Amino acid sequence: MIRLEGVHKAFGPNRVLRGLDLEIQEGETLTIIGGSGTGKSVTLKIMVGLLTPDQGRVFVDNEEITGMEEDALALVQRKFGFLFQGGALFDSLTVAENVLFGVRNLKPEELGRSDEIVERCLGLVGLKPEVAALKPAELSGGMKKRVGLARAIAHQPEYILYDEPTTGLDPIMSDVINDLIVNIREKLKITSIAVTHDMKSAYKISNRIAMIYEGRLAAVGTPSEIQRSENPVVHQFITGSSQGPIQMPVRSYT
Amino acid sequence: MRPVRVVFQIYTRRVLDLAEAVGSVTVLVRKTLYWIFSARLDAQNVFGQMYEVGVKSFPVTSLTALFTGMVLALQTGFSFLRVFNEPLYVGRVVGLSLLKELGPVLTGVVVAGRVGAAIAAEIGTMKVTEQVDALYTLGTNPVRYLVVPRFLACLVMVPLLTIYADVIGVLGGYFVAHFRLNVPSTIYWDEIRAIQLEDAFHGLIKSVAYALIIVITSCFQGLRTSGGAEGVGRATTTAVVISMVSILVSDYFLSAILVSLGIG
Repeated sequence: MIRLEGVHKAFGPNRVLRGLDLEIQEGETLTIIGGSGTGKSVTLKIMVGLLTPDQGRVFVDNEEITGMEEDALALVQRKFGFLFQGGALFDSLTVAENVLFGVRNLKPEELGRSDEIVERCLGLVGLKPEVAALKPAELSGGMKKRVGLARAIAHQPEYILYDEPTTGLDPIMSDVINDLIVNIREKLKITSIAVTHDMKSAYKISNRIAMIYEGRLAAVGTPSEIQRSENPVVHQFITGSSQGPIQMPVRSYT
Repeated sequence: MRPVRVVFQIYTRRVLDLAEAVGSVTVLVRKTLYWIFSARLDAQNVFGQMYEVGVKSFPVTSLTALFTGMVLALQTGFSFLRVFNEPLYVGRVVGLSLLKELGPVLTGVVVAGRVGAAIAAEIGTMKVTEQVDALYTLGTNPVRYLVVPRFLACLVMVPLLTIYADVIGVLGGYFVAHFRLNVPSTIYWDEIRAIQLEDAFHGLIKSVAYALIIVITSCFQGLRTSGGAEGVGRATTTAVVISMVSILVSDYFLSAILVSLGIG
């Protein structure tokens, strides 16, 4: 279980999170939605200890990680797999080396069956074993995301975090990635937290959806509850309307 | 009153930024030393970096050192020829200048331009594409994985490159002294042999200091990169400029300290 209590985070004068409270239950897939710059990715990075909140507390499995020493935090970070927005694959390594990177550091005793791990993880994300020898520069955007996902699950984490898993992909590839996320949750029983703008994706992969607005939690509920929400902020966001309480800064060229 | 306050605020901000940077560099050095002594070294990664830093710098170091030695011999020879009607002390001037000053400084500048830029750009790109964050989530500390191998590689290879540059520079000086200025070989090499071991040691100590300046500055700039491709460009330029200026400025102070200690 992951719990955020009154989390604040600012970057210079930009106060991104202003007292966010959020709880993720074991085994569920929670999707965080919200406009650009509302702190969705920041929230993910705070959960895994990549960013430190200015105020507030973060608990992972009832252990507070805020203010934790680097060594202790590294032990908590082992519980996580993270699919970064652009894949964040290591350019100088092959796909197989990328997939095994976490295993090498976190579960070195399993390196004896590295070929099997690579084949299994690539198979789980729908990639053939031949891809293993390629470098990231030789992969398409969708393949990079899939390899990133294979790398994130290779060391069998307890939590997996998806940062904009479908951004930059065509609708069909987006749906393929959505299916993979659902598939991985069902096969590996991993607690998942996703961040997305893509409502189709959010409805498909989530048990619950949480919306962040003005640095706080605006709403949380099941996909059907969110779809039926009468909260004007939620309604405007899920319908993608430019009219409503959410005001996006638009530059005028007239 | 208002402009005065604005200027005061700007300078206060700069002083605070500088203090923060000094603090962050100190933390980076401490973490680097911690990982060197507390974890098993990734030998493959270290040797890979030694190849990048050292072997790949041979051609540019060779050219720089060769022509520096040649021009030193030429200028010294003709200057003395004009004053004393003989090209005196060419070997001694070339040898001492290269071993104590030009060898380490020019090697440092070359490595700062070639290797420092590459380190800052590579780590900076990894930072803005979230590869550095990915390292944390895959059980690897970025300082251990990215900084330690480069740190050790620079610490070993920059002094070796300096020795190599000294040799090439002295050879370049010999070619000009002997074939252009007609200085007898025995005289040139006797003057080189007369140089004290402390003089060579003086240059080697400097080269170690320059290696530290280059690798810490470049890794630090890479790890603090933000703002996409523009940020990577900025970090790379900053790393090279700070490294080169620091090498030249510290050269004076290092010389003063080493001379006062009787080393060279």
